[in-house]
Amino acid sequence: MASVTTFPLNCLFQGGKVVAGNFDVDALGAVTRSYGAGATPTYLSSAGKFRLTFDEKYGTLVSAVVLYGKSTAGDQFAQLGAYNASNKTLDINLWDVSAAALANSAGTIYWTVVFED
Amino acid sequence: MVSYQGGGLGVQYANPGFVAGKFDVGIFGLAASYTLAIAAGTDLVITADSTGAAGNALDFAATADGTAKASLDLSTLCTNADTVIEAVTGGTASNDWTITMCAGSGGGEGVNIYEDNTNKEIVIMYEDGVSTVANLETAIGAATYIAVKTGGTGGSVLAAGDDDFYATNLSGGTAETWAEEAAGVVTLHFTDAATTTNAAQTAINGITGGSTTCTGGSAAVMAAGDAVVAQDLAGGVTEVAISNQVGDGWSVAQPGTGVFRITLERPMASWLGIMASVQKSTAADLFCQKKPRDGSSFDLQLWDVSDAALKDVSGVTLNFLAIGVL
Repeated sequence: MASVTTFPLNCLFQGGKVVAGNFDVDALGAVTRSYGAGATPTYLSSAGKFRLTFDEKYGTLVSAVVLYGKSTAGDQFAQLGAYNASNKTLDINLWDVSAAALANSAGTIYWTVVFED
Repeated sequence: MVSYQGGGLGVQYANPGFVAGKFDVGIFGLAASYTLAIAAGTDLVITADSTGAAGNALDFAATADGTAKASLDLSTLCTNADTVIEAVTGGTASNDWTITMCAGSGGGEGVNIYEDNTNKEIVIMYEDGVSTVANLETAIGAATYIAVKTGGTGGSVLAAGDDDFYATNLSGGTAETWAEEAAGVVTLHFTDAATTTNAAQTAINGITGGSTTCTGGSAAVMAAGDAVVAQDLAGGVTEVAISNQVGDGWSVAQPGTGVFRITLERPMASWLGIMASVQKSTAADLFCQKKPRDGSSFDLQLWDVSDAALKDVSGVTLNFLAIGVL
C-alpha cells in the first residue's frame, strides 16, 4: 500500500463523532451485508423502510446523510426518516420515483451521521 | 461506551475543514382578510379560510338588498300584459304567493282582483277585449297584497287565451340576511336597520363550500351605509421559516423558492465534497441537490419530483456534510 500523508480534519465543534457505514439490501428488502461500526441496519418489513439502531446514545445529532448506490442506475433515492434519540434509531427510506412510493430495490445504502457531545 | 482512538479523521489534503449541520424548514401562512366597517358597532372581519396569496384573489361585497320582494313579470306569461307585479311585503315568504289571471269578468265589470291571504292566492279577472293594461295596473294599485313594480304598456288590450295563466308563483323574495359566493366574490345581502352583524356573520359562515370565515358579529344593527362594492381581501402570504439549526460555523438563508444558502463564518479556499439529505418523517418524493457557489457558501436545493420544480415544503429537515480546504 502506498504511503500517504493525511491531515486531521478541522471542525468547528468539540467532541464530534462520525458514525458511518453502508449496507446492501436485496430486491425484497433483506439486509444481506453491513459494513461499518456503531450501528446496525434492519429492514422494517415494509417496502423501502429501513432502520439504523446505534450502539450508543451519542450526543446531539448534528447531521446525517444517506445515499443510495446501485450497479445499474435507476430512479431510486434514499431519504432520511425520523430520528429517535431515546431509542437510538434513525430511519432510512428508499423512494422509487416512477412508482411514486417507497419501494425495495437491490443496492447499497450509504449512511454518515455526525454527533456532537 | 465506545472509545474513539487517535486524532480522528484524516484527509489526504492539507488543512481540511469540516462543516456539518441541519435545520428544519417550515411553512407558515397568513390568510387574506377584509374588514367591513360597521357604523353602529364592531367591524366585521372576513378572512380567507386558506392561508397564502391565493386568498388575495377573493373579493367581498355587502349590499343592502335583503328582504327583497317576490315579483312576477307578466310579459313572460302573457301576450299583451307586460306589467311586473310584486308582493307588498318582502322576504322569502313573499315567494309563496301565486297569481291566476283569466278573462272572467262580465260586461262592464272591468278588472277585479281577489286576494286570499290564507292560501296566498291572487286571482285577477278582466274583460276580454275590453280591459287594458292600464286598467289592470289601476286595479293592482288598489290591492292589499300586490303592487305594480314596473308599469307596462298601458294601451294594450287584454285578450282571452293570450293573457290567461294559472297559479304561478312570484319569485325572487329573499331573506332579511343572506350570503352567497360566486366567481370568487363573497356577497352579504343585508337589510337596512334590521340585520344584526351577528346575523351577517352567521350568513357568511353558512355559505355552503364558502371560502371565508367571518368574525366580529354582535347585536349591532347594520345600516344601508355599511354596504360596499366588491373589495379585495388582502394580506395573504406564505412564508418559509427556518428553525432548529444544529451545527456551528454557518448560517442559512433562503434566496429563492426551495433554495437554502449555507454561508460559512470562515470561507474555504476550495471545496472537496458536499453531501446533503432530505429528512422527513413521512417519506416523500423530495431530494436535495447541492450547488457550490464560492468558498463562503453553497446552496441546498430542495427538488420535488412530482412537481418537477424547486419547492418549499413544510416538515422537512435538511442535513449536510461539507469538506473543504481552509
